[in-house]
Amino acid sequence: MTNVKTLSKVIAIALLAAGSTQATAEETAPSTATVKVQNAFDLAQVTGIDFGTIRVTSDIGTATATAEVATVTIYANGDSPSADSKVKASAQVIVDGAAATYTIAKVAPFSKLELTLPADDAVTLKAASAPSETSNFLLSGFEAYITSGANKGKAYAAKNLAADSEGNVTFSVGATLKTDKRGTEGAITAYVDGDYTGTFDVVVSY
Amino acid sequence: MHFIRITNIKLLFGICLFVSSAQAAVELEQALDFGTIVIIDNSSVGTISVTPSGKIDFSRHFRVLTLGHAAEFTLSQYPSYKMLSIGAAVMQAQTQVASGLGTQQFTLVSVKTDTSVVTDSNGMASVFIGGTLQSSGDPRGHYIDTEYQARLLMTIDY
Repeated sequence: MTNVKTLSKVIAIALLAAGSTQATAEETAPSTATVKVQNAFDLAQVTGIDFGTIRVTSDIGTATATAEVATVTIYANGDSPSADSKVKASAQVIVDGAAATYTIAKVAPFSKLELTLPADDAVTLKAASAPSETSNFLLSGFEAYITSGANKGKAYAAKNLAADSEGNVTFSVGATLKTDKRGTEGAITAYVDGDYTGTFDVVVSY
Repeated sequence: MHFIRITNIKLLFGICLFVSSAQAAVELEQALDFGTIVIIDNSSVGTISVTPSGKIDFSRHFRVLTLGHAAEFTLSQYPSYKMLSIGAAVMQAQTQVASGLGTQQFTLVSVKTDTSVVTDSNGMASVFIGGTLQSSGDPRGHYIDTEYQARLLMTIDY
């Protein structure tokens, strides 16, 4: 009997010990909280703006203030190019050009993006190998046309460049090519046959 | 018989020690993640919140590229049907970046969880923790494209 009583006490003590350990237990678990910033996205030019092959003359015999300007316009929406000639400056399209095209990827889905195009006369096209007094071209009237996404088929205006559900959108850019009007003050000479090129920035932002 | 009783006592002690030394397990299934975001305006403070149930809210300062989620812990080896008191606290509020580059930082201003959870018949339970993150709101500042981390702590009392 003595042995049995001793065993009972031991069991009671052991169970109490186990129970008291659990009653005061505390566990802690550290962890991290993470956020990833990805402000950058992909903007790529697929094709540059091409004014085609043109026959052109500039008004080189008149003072700058009154010199005439001929133009060739490439429409962002894909309409056929148009040319406008004057008496002393002329432009005719021989081979049609085409608007520049761009793709945007990896933006937040359905984001409305702001597009900034060059200001009028901020871009000059020059013939690489021609003398400096050779007539140049100026670009003005930049415009954009949305070719995919929620606003596909609309002219760009007021931040309506809307990405699709995958964060993609495409657009095209047109502009008007203007003949040189430095005239007698610039002492310019006629255009030479060849390629005239220039560069400009298209800026897209949230 | 006497010898046998002594043996039983030793065996009983052995079982009790095993039980009292058994550690409840806490396993992190997924850390609190506010997702991948674009900061389009840092002229004022913006907030992103993830609730313990996974609902996400964000202010006009952000665009979300990929959605985040609440932290999830799995608790195991607890007593069955036991109510556990759960707490969550911010350990390190200011975020850090692995690159060490100079950048604006976020602040983990709060974390939130249900205050208690009841274990199932197997002594297991899941705990979810959400939180709120603030941007600096400094218009002169710039966030570089990278991952930002803060730290939090979960406590379980029972």
